[in-house]
Amino acid sequence: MERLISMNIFKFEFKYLYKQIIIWTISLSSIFIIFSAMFPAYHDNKDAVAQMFATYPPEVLKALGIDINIIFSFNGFYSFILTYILLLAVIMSLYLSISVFAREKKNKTSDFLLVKPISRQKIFLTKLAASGLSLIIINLLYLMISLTMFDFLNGINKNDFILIFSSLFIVEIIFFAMGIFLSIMLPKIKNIGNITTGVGFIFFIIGMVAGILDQEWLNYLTPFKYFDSSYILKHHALDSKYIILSIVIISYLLSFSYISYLKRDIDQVS
Amino acid sequence: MDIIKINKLTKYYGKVKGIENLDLTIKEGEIFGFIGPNGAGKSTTIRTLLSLIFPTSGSATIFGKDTVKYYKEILQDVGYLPSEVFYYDNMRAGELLDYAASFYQGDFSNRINELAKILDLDLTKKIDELSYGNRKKVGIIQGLLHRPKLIILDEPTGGLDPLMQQKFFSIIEEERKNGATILFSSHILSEVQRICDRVAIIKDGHIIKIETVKDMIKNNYKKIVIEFTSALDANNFDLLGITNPKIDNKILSFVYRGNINDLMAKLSHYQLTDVHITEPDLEEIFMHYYGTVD
Repeated sequence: MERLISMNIFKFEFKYLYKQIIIWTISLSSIFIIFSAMFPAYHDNKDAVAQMFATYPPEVLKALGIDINIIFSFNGFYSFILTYILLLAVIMSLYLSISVFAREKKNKTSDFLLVKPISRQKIFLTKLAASGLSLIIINLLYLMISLTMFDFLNGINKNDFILIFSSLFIVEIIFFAMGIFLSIMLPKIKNIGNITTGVGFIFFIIGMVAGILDQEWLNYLTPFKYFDSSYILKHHALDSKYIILSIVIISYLLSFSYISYLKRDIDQVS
Repeated sequence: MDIIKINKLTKYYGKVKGIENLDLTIKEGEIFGFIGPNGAGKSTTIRTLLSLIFPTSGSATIFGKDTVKYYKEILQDVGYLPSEVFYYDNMRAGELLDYAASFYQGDFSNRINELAKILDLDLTKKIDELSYGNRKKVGIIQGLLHRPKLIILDEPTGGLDPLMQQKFFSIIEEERKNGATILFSSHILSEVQRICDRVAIIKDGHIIKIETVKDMIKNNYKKIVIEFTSALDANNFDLLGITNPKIDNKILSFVYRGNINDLMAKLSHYQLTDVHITEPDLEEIFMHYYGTVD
């Protein structure tokens, strides 16, 4: 471990990351808990809710991810709120990777770090380890908390729930890798919040448009549409073509970022 | 031993020339100066040596090792003091310096405290709250705490008051006495004059001249001011080697590049009130290079 990553950088990054872990775990879990707490009341009043949905134009329901046929089961309900949990999770993933990989760019401390006797490989891998570990910790905690709630709302297919969670995690990794890519390729990083929210929303909106227009090719443009919950609930599996696509995208983003980081000229800042 | 050896080093930023075919050798124990205007290529050269940027062609070695291949090993013994200092948010000076020290083999806390004492820096203060000069001090300590064999200084004294500058130079001299080699880039010529042994003048990405500071000052100009008893004499005085003559009634001042004996011989034919002969400072020599080489 010592040879691949640098413990002093790892500890340094974690000093900033542990707060992120707490904030994001609470945020994601809270949304899930609040929505889940609403589910019993929502389920008990499903006729009234169904009537309300009937007044919406079908395009709007599609854009919002509402499928009348499944939305009244817990998994169906969850897959609806998942779009929004996913948006938060995507912004979180971008934030985690950008805050770590763009730290020197933002603070103008590249000259400080890169003149130390440490290879750029090691710096990259250490940052990847620190931010990646944070992503994993948050997701594990979120999974634990949501499974606890799940037991609380019994009678629902746990395996499907875990599959849906896995799809969430895969999409997070795509955006996590995208965050690394953006950190290295963008010439300036001033406000990380703006970038993460902007990028997250752009892909989210493409997803909404894809939902409205119902054109399958549009789904390829946004990871928000790679793992449709109704597909998962129907087939009890993730769509393999999107798994492959995700792997390809993640591999490309990570390799390109890694090579760029190694070869990049660090220009003087003022 | 050659501490730094630069061989036909070239760096283009796209189409823009940074440096071209730079050749330079810096020996162990030297204090070597780089002078030149902004954009001349001083920072480009330094950043290439430090592997912050990569050469377009040519190469450089530090301690006999190629800078691109062995930067990790080389940087163990290199200290870099950049012109602008930036730090991470929310850190105390001591924390940042401990973090910097953690990259090097050894325990340098005594050295950090020693330098902080000399420079009068409170290590418990948050860097965000420090003045520019105090942040510069953090930069100085950060570059020197591991007792590097090669110290690269890029405009290091900006923001320091004269007393601190004095202390800074004595620290540098002390490092040199301990065997360090120093590369000092500056556009403040009095500083270069003060501590450097040799100087390279850089302009437009090329080294125009490399000279010892002593020779530069000695071989080139004398500033001469002669007060004649007659204004006519002042107006008519001429000799090969005189440049930039200025006449103010009976007083003729000029810069003299010729044989001092010829000047003395000619002056002996005149009635003079006063003569002043002064060494030019590096500023004026510098102007000479920029004036004539274009």
